Amino acid sequence: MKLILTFGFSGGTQRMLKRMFGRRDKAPAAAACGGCPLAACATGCEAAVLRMDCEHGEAHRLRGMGLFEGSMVRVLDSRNGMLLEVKGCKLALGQSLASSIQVLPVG
Amino acid sequence: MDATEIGGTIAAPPAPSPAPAAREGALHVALIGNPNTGKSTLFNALTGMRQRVGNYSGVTVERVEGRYRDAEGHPVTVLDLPGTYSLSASSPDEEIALGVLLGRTPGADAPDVVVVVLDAQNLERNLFLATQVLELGLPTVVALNQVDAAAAAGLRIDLVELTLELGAPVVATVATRGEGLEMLKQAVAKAPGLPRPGRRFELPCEAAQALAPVEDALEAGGLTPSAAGMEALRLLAVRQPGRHLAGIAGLDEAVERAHDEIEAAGLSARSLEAEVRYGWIAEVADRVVTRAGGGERTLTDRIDAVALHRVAGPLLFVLMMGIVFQSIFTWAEPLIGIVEGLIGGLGGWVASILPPGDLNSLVVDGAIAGVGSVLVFLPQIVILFLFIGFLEDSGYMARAAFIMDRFMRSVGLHGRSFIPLLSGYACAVPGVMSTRTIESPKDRLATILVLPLMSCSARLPIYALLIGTFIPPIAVAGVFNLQGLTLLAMYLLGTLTALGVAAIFKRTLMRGKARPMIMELPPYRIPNPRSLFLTVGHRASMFLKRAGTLILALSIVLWALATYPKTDAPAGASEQAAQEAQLAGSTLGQLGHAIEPAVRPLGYDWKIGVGIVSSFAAREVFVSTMGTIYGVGAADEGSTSLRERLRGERHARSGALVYTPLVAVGLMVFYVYAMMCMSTAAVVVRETGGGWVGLGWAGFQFAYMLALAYLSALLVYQGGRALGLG
Repeated sequence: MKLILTFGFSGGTQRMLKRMFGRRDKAPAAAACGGCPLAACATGCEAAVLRMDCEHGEAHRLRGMGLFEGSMVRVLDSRNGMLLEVKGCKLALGQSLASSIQVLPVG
Repeated sequence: MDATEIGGTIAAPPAPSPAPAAREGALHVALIGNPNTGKSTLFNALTGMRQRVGNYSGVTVERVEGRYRDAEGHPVTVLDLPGTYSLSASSPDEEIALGVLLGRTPGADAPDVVVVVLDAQNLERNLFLATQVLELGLPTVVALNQVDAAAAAGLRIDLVELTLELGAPVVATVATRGEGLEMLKQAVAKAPGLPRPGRRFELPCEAAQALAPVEDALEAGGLTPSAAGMEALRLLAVRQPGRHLAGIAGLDEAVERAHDEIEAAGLSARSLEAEVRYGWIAEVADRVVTRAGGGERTLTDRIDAVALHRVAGPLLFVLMMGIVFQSIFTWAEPLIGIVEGLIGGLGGWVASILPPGDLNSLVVDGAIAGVGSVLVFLPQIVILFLFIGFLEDSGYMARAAFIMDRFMRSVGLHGRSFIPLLSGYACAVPGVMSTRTIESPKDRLATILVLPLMSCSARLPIYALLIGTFIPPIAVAGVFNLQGLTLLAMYLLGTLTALGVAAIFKRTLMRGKARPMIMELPPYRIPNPRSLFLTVGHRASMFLKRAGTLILALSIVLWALATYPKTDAPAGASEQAAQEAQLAGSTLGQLGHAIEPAVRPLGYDWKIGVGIVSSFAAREVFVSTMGTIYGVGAADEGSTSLRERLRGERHARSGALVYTPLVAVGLMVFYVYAMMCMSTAAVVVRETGGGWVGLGWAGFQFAYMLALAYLSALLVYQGGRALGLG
């Protein structure tokens, strides 16, 4: 199926399909090099936060909400922005913010 | 003692120094806590109806203050600070919260006692803010709220141990049921006599050394040593002092130097505070919290499985919005009828007891009618805020914003802008007031500026009159009717323009990095009715106070314009003809004549000019002015005599028909865009900062909408004529 999609459609259509069905492509486990963006984590993934490359104010706000370097997060839903569980709370993050947070998936 | 016994409190060791002399007047208490901890419910339970709502000077952050008397009868004032996750000062709300606690917000003294409200179900995250507040060194009481829900979830919290760890008295409360309140009041009364709390953990040696010059600079700037310690650690992570620290000499340089030294020592300066705080908190939580069971799917998880479902979620959202929207229209209708009836009755009664003449007219047509035009908005405001309060308190609002975020982001707004825009269909006034749930000031401003473009219910009489009179009821494509389609087109035109203009504003005037979505989805809970009604009451009274006075004054001005100078009706003329002659000869009528050259390119004559001028205050007045100026007496949009008169009206000189379908469509487009509503303008002034700043934004909004209205009506009329229509 994937092959047909890859060869059968133009780049734009492929990108669109990838966005629609993209979560299947997401790596459930870490790349060996030590970390990936939080946005790349699939639903159900647990990860440790390594680095926060977002704006200082936002990073500090997130730390106040329990998301900080070294903390654990669980991805509850990765389709529509990111829905996370952090210290027992549900936290929704925008896609771009989730892309600027580097994590190490642990399971 | 049961670890989570309600009202259990442990006094810290007796104070070494005598308690400070009782201050003159009331004890000032500030309430601070994370959002969704039940802080506002606790505030309402403590203070009841004795509350005052206002704004902090220069910002649109709401300032809610209340008071109560403690067991000995001493007065206590309570300031409900904005909910915040940390003292990071990264939003106006958080800046106010920190500024007040440090005594550096103008108009708000530093509190005598701080009450930190914690959600017992989320102790670890809530303790982050608590440790920051405790470090400020103010007398502090910790209210451990929602202990009942925590117990139900299998969490047991040892109050004795927590009190010893924090160095401040901890009181267990259930604010929704009023439990633990007396204990809390006692603890607050005793707090000033207890030893001051402070930092309970050690910083790494290198960091402590590097931060010493920052603390010195802060102390030289007037902060207490303990507050300086907390602020130094915060500045290391945020590196933006914020308004409350403006003007402290050498601060920025000291922070930069400390940052470099700490990085050079191999530590991460940005995450240092979070690491040491959460490290200490994790140890404390280990000692204090015992978990029994837990881990099973909660009710919130089960509701979210539907509410956030890929298909069911948006459907549920549309259903919810449908109910809200429908109720603002239909439920408010009978209530508006009652308000109008009461105002009409009052006017009739006053008219009958005052001698006929100008005073009678001033009181009845000016003052009472003006007050009435304010009061008719109340039903919609109350219903909308009941819904918004219910959705907010139940926890659904955050889900709705999450679901709508992607769509709203495509026009540059936040998910939270959706509900204010939607309520704009009913009335822009509550819509503008409800933008307070939008955190980013730029998003909020953009939403306020485009909100009146949504066709509100006050436009409906104008659409109904013009469509009913000039658009033929032709069937289109079998099932549709041209009249209905025209109405739909007007609503769509307003909506699409609002979204388009918002996108333009966000890319030009209100540009700036879009604030990414960071939102907690709190557990669902049943809203507390008492809190809900208090909130709705605040909104209603704020509207009446802020908008009411201004609208009353402008109504009287408008009345004077329509009444003077007097024109004597020719002898034997009917009452209607006399009214027509009076309006034509009044200042308002002269204004209509004066603007005729400006509106002639739109196809209008001076009578429509009068209608437009008179409806500057409230667009629905257009219909009744038309009734007066065409001499058909009291008219509404369904009045047949007015419709016939409009269809037959001809230009005085050329003899051509004044109204063609093209003129009617152009006039409707004009009213889709024109911001003709004093009430909305008054609320916009308030909500965009008040004073000259607010006036500036309201003026800008009025001007751009009027320009849009004029140009679009011009385009419709002249374009239509060029195409041979009309």
